[in-house]
Amino acid sequence: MKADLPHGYWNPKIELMPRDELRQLQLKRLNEVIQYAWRHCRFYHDLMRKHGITPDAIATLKDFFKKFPMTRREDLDKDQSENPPYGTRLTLPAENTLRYHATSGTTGKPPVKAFDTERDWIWGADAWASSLYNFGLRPEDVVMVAFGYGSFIGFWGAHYAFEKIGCRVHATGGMDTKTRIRMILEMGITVLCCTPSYALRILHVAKQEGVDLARESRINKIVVAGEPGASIPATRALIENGLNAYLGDFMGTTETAGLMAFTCSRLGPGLHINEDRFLAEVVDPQTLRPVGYSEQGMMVVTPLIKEAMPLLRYATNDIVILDPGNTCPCGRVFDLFRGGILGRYDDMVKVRGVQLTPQMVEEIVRSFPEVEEFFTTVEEKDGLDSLRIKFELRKDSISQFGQELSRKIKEQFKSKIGLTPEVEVAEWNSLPRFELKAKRFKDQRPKRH
Amino acid sequence: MRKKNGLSKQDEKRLLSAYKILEEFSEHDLPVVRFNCRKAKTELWQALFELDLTDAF
Repeated sequence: MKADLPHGYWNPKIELMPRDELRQLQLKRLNEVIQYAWRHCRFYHDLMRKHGITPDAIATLKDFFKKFPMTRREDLDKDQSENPPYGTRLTLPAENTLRYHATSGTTGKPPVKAFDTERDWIWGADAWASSLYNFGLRPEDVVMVAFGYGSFIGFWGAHYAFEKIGCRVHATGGMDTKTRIRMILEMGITVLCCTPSYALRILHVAKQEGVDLARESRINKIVVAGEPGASIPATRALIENGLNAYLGDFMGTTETAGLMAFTCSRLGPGLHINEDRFLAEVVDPQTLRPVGYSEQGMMVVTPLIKEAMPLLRYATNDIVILDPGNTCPCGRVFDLFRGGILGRYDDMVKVRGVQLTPQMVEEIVRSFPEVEEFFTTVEEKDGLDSLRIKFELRKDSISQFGQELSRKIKEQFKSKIGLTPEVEVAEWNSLPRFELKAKRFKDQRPKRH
Repeated sequence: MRKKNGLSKQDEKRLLSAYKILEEFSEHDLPVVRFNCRKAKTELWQALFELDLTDAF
């Protein structure tokens, strides 16, 4: 049986403060950010002038939500391509910054370049540190960070945060999966930090090697970020059961640098937003009007401090549902994203009139424990959309079971989504595996403009 | 006296004083002093910011 996660507050003064005081603190910090951007950031100065806004026009949070224009990824791309190499958001000479990172490039667009000053970087690492502490990380933990340590921000901030808490950190940038598994066993690793896809990959390789990590390793916590996998109950269960450990989901972006939301040690129904550091909104993706608690919408975020590259009302395209903080038993006043990040609006496709996201497919396919890996394509066949799912059976499954499972997957799709896909069994170990930002969904239909 | 969910006024003052000292030594001629104090100063600033105590600057 798993021991409970240690419970505590990184900064109880803020995490437990009355909600109206938290809103006042956000407004104070927001006003400072807007003043700073007006004075030092050409991108926002020009944008505010274009919309006839001066910092004085924002006296309340409501004013900000109503009057201030959103920034979209396209705006950042356009700014950087028209003003090479860094765009006009940089507030100081690049040589005065401390860190450079770029977005992962999984959207297929050129990566966004992001700079941080020393203060930004410490702020970002602190957002990670507070979130990890609030999940239950303590100095006695031994952490393996399984990521490539490249220019993608990934788990860089987490690494610094683990050190700040006092954990021993094993950076495993250049290692292959087998070596990492050996290290997990030999070095007494208690926390695995990686993407959900890579956690599944480790379990897959461990099984090939005859290693039962749930029984043989000391891992009791898994820190995941970078993909929505942890918000999919079936994927989450596979990882938690495979390692016999608690899974904490953590959410951030390269553009904001800091860690936005986290699972707390009470394992509540969602991810608490670090609301003293970020101002989060949820809006209807079409009308851009705010939606209320319990309604699905697009996350818009403003980091409440950012020296090198301010970012105001950034439309993330992430699909979220907001719940009040008191729906979690931990006592924090910070609101929650129910179930974490539920997908992305720019990943959503229409198949025979049905809105579909990769997460909807994963939720169904992973609910069958016999499935090892899968891949989805949308194609055009005789002028009609066709959804095709290939899956691999687990190595220890009976091969005749494949046809029966294909039938069950089809039935689930029909009853839950209203689509009947073509489903076929693929040879074991033939489908792609992922270490970072998995892409198990491909729309192969011809583009029509 | 320490408060359960935060710091006493006296502790707040001491932290602010520590920041002033680190700020001063962040400009020191000796690299070992300058660089270590600069980093420590920024880390302490982060704590003061999170505690909403940076208005004093």
